[in-house]
Amino acid sequence: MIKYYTFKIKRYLPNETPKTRWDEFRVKLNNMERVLDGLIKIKETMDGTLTFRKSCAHGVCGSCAMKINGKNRLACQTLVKDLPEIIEIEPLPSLPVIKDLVVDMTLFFQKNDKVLPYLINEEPPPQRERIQSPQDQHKILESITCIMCGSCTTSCPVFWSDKEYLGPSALLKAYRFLFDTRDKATEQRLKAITGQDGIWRCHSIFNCVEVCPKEIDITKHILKLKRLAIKKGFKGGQE
Amino acid sequence: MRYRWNIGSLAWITHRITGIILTFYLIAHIFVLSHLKDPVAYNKIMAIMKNPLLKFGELILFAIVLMHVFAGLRITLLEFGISTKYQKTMAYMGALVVGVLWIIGTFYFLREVL
Amino acid sequence: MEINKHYFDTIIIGSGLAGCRAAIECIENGTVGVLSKLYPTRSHSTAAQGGIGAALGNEEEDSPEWHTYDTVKGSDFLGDQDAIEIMCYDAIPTIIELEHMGVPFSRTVEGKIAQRRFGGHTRDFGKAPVRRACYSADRTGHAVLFALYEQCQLRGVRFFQEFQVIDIVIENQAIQGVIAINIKDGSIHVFEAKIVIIASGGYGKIFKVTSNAYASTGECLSMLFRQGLPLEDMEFFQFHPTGLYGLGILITEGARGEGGILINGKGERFMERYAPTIKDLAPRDMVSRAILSEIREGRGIDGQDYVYLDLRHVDKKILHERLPEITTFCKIYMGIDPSEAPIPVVPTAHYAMGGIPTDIDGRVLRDVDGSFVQGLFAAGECACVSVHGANRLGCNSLLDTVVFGRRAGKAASSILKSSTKGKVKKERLALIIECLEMLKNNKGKETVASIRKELQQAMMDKCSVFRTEEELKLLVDEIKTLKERYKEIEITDKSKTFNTDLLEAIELGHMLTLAEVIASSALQRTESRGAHYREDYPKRDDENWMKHTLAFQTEKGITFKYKPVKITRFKPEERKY
Repeated sequence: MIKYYTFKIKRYLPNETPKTRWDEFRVKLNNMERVLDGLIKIKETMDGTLTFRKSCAHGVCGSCAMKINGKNRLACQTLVKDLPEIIEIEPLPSLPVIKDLVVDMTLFFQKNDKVLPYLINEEPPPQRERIQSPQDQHKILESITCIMCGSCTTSCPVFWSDKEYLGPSALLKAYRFLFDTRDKATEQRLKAITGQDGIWRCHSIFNCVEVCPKEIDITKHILKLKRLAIKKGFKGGQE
Repeated sequence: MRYRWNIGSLAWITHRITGIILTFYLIAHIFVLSHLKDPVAYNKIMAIMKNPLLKFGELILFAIVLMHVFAGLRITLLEFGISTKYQKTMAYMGALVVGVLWIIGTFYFLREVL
Repeated sequence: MEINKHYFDTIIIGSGLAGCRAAIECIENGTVGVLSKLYPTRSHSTAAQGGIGAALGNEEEDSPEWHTYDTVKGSDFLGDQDAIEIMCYDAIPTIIELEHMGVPFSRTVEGKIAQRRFGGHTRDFGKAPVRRACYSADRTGHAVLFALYEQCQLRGVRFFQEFQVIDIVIENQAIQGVIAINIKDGSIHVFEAKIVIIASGGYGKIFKVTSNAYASTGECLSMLFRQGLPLEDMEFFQFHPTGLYGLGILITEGARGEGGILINGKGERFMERYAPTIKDLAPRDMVSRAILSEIREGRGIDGQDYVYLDLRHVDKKILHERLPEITTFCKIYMGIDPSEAPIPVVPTAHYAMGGIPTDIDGRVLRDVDGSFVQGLFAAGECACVSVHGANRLGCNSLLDTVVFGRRAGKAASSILKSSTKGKVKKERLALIIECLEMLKNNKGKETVASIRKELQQAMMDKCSVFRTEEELKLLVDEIKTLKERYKEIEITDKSKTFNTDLLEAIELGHMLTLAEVIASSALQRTESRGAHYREDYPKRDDENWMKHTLAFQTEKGITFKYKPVKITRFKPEERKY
């Protein structure tokens, strides 16, 4: 089934005046095609200046997160047939825009760096692999699927109002290591996430869960972090 | 386009807004109470309270208190480890319970007034 | 124009598995800068699903010797056996090392790394399938890439994300550095270095239907080729048997490893006819050919051009635990649940066996005599060691990236002290900037999209699983015409900020170069071996063709030289499964 869709795209061209404008494109797409296919068609046949990120095109690299009809999603994972005929596309909210749908993700990645995002275990490793039971591995199973597309953090009202907040993505990363039985830096990492910009700022709004393209229940993980922090005596306020 | 609401964020914003309203209400409430010094003042203020507009205000206040309580309960339960799988159900159920309690409350309230 | 200059002891191009693994070695001895077109964790390694091969023997008896044999046989005896042996024996410590770095592998009941069956991996020299692929559900690449990137961060590797390399500077047979554009603001950056390691990945985007990412365009290979360096075995391009119909999205071989089977329009499990012993777990080249033969003979589903991958009989719990990713792909893109309906699949362009010729330590070779470019290394899919020969076995690609990424890193570190700092000459820089400006301001009637589309279609039609002399000749001519037309392209975006229009034009130029090499290499190899199947020469010809092809660019066009295959333990035999 082939149908026409109207793509209303919020443009941002730093060298033009006015810098911001809305453009409309009519695109013919079949019911297997995705928003990303529509954007590519526009770029190839209508306006070569339209700029967006893309890479794997099947929802594993996390390049093409954008706000589509009022919700953050991956353009490559959103089929047009599931959308109304008018598709409104904007860049991810609350990050500085570089051009059109491309945002500057630096701030987002910096948050991640703050939670010590690497396995820390200074004990000399054994000859073979470290033993970890399947049950223990399952504790982190959901959190390791994160592709760092930025949909969650930029959908979080707390992050909108305060850019110092670590945000769901970074907290999920902290969870991934805190609940990995092989990691030994529990104290350090809890210290990093229980400051005034850490887990206590999460108000269980669930916007992040709503948008995660990998369907990770991020709030669940943050709630678990909160319980762990209390158990270990981190009550917040420490820097 | 505005960012799209969902039940989770609606529960959160309701909790916030009702919280702020209740804060102001409590200040006003304490202010009024602090002026109930003698029978004359008491009667005067009670007369004002009979105003139908204020009566109607009390109904709204009742709704706000209910909403705040149930939104708070939902978050508390979540934080105590009730599975987040039920967060949406809890929000809808909460809204339902708030509605039912409010209607019952209103019924008694109106019976008393009328 | 303002030029930004940087110096690093080692520069690595590409931040996938090979790049990150090499960086971890190099950072021990000096400064390391990694250049990537994307944010590092977006590299296409992240899309690898099924597993990483190593004869750990965690689930059942296994040995690196069997692994070596399988890889040699899988390569249709074109793989260099010394290199294969190194890879298969190095596999075990390398995987253990990855586990120590934090890769969240799936586990066995005893808590060891879990392993599963994969195509072409057998026990006891071909007797039965063996569990050899270590995995993390069906997101193995993702799990390994994140762990390696995280370790790089911990160790202080400097990443330059969204930097596109536009020139690799080699002078006096030694590496000098690289020139790159910062995509964000269009500024030019010169990176001088003692060592450059190329880990830029594959170039599947040359084909229309591919599992590869938009970023997999292979410009680094073309940059070397244009400077007179050879490219090895470019005729061998692997088509993965199971790509989602119409989209090319990969459905891991692990799906068949967990019990999935292929069925044709008649409902037959047709792989029984093509590979009686290991059936659906035959190597990819054979399965791809089998699928297309079924379709050609009218036994596709309802006579159409696809077959089914059937997972309905696989336990739902296994689907959920070990294949969650492909289950969601099917749900999202096809609207089907693999536990209830079969998945429509067709072969999809997947992996380049050929690439930059290197020795077993990743040194880039200049010629058939084994001379190399001082200070230049390559690892991963862009390199051709050659461990995959004419056909790669599943789960050997991740292994290749980490084993040879590590080896290249170690070899690079060992020569760091004795190497001199590279120097990028002003003239070279001026030339590349001029080319860039010319491309940007070029006037003409052609567009990048139309040429790219025609190239991808032509490669798909004439140079995919089945090839003939007639069609390949047509293809070479077609590519030459496209190259001419490329001179007439005009791009719309003239800005400096995030100009993807310009970058795609640069990539297309390189894709055209590579396509010509692939087509010409395929044309001159008059035999069928592994992934290269010539309908006019359907037999393997060990007498004349037991050798690697090295394509060179000369004034007369593309010319070929040959390098013997290193055969140590396993003598070529007929390849039957």
